[in-house]
Amino acid sequence: MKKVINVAFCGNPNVGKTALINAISGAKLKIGNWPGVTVERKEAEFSYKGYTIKLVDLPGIYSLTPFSEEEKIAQNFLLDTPPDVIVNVVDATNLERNLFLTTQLIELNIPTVIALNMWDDFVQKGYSLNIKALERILRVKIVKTVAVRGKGLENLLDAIVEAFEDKITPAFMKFSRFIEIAIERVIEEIRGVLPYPERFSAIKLIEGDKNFRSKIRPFNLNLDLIDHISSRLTEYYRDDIAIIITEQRYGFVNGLLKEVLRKPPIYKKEITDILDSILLNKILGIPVFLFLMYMVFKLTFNLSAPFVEWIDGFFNGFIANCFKYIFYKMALPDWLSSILVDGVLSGVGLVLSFVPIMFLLYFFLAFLEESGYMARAAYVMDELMHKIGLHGKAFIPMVVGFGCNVPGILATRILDNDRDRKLVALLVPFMSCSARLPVYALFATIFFAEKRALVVFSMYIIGILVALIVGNLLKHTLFRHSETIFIMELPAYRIPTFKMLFSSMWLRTISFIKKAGVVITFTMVILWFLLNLPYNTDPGNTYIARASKKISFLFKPAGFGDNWQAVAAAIPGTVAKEIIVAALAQFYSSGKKEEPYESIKNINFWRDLKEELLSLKDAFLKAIGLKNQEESADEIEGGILSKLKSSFDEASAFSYMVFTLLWIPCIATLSAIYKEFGFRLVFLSISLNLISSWVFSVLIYNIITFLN
Amino acid sequence: MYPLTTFGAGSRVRIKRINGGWGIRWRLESMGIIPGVEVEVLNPGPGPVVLKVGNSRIAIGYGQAMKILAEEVK
Repeated sequence: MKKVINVAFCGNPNVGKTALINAISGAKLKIGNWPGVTVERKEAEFSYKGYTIKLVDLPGIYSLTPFSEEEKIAQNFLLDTPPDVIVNVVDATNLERNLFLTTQLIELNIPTVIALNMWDDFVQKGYSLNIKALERILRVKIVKTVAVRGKGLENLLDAIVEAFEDKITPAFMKFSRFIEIAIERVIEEIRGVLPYPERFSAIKLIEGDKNFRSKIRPFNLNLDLIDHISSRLTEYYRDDIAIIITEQRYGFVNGLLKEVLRKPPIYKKEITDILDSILLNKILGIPVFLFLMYMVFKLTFNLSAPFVEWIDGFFNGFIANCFKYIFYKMALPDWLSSILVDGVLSGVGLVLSFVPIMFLLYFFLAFLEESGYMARAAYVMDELMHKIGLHGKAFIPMVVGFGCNVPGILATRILDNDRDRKLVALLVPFMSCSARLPVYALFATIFFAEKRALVVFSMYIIGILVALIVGNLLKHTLFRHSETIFIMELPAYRIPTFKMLFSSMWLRTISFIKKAGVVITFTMVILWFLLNLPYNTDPGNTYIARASKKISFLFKPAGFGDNWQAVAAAIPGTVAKEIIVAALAQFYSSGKKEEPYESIKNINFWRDLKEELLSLKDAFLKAIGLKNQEESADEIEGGILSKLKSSFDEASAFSYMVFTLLWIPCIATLSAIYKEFGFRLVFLSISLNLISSWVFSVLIYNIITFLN
Repeated sequence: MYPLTTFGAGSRVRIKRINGGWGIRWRLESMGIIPGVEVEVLNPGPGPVVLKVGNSRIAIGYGQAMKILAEEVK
């Protein structure tokens, strides 16, 4: 029977913890979420020298105090499911701060290994460290690692096994005399009552850690004496005891480092600072940022478009025909074949057609994150964000929202308080997600040809502007606020490795497919019922069409009130925005269901397959620019092209795009909001979007027609 | 002792005192901004103030930075 070693990786953010775990566990890494929250949880399980090693990666934290969700998660994990070994990943070039957390981890009384990561940077800076002395004083094992180059990994694993077998627990730091006396007194009070490490618990209680206090409530401990001790200490030191303890920790670390660390006082201007002088520049900062964002989206759009087209054609043409043929041969009734092909299959095709866009968008966003620029973006945007009562960090969920609103909602977790999270979650749906792109693509290509990239980009900008307006409104009404603290670390710039980028974008794309895919496919089937009943009549006669005709007058001021089809398409659009295009196609088509045999009469499997593969090759060429993207509006939706041209004009097309931009969030987003914040916010979100989509499309339509 | 926001870019200063509630101070201190430590003011604002603390760069909101008092290190 193999022995199992449970290991927890713990450390500051930006120390390379993720890179280290990736390097150690390779393909065995699994990613999920911490239960009930949306912070990422990484785990791996593998064998090493006869042991089974189970790794858990804890979120990056500065301290084991509950300032943020990450810190709560880490504290709870370490107390509720203590590991056999703690691996404290430390940035060797920043020991002063990193060891602060170490002093706290040590109090958990678990065998600890310190991974001195970024060792190559440490050496390059000319620093030197007396590792043996440090090991002796702290009673931990120390391993030098360079995660991104895969160095030191085996040593680390060996150290983990050694720590497990030796079971040597680290040496606590000592505080000043009165504090030590207090700690002993508190330990007496809690001994045998609390199942948690004594010293750690005592210190937390003296500090007044709120998370810890709520954790121990079920034990019904009388805290009067402890509170008394805390206030006595605070009185004595004339400052809050929690602060004193923090300062003493730093005192200890600094004293320790004075003995073991040597740093030559060389002052070289680092690349990071040189870059920052441009990127964080008061004047250049925002334009540079906007430019980068524009490039990201332009590249994403242009590179992915040929593939999106191809996938769409592949599923709704080739594969659909294959299935129709099979069903015909199986003599399946018409309507069943239709549900399966027009409902389920086209749903699947729709979801998959987003993979190229998601892939690229997540690739670029991961690049910005890993390179360190994302933090600068938050900084640059801070002043602007401040105007809507948020701070720069709020910017990140919004940026993520540009890829897909769902992870954007989930990313609001990085904000420190509830009010900020809710407010940002309401604004994320105004960030134009990639699901809205097909609608823009369709209308922009038809009505704005050469200017289409610009028009699409303007949708993103309008979304941001509306978010600012709505945000301001909310700030003064429902979300009157308390001051929020802006503290953020700006990591050093680094060139991301392709491995890390790829794994990040792959995982996120897969999770989108899984989450959204099921919902959308299921919804397509429901939609099929809405759109096709009564069966086999004119599309203008379906229940949904009849309903839309009745209410389309509401949209006259927005310019598309005469098109009941456009209004009707918004209904399925409530469920998933990418469906709007398909819905439009459906409503504008003449509706006569062709005899099934007609469409598959000329099917020739091998010939058609070959054609598909050739056009896939073409897609690659188009993406890299070796073949021109034809003004392929003609290829997109065939017949509805001309119908749309005649039903809209430039102004109403633009206002319809704005309408789709601001319309009710899709079902996946709404379920994310429900999951995080409950039903009230879902209701609020729906109302906000409903109202603003009408208001702004009307506004914009009238402004455009007025200007012409 | 002067607020961090009053120093020029590139100044090396020693943190003397942090005003404000203990929540904010605890937060700042856990990230290394603690009385006694020497830091470099990379960017004194307006807008978020950027400090070099040890080997890390920390950006702090202007309002918070105004509450951190420091002395120039000769």
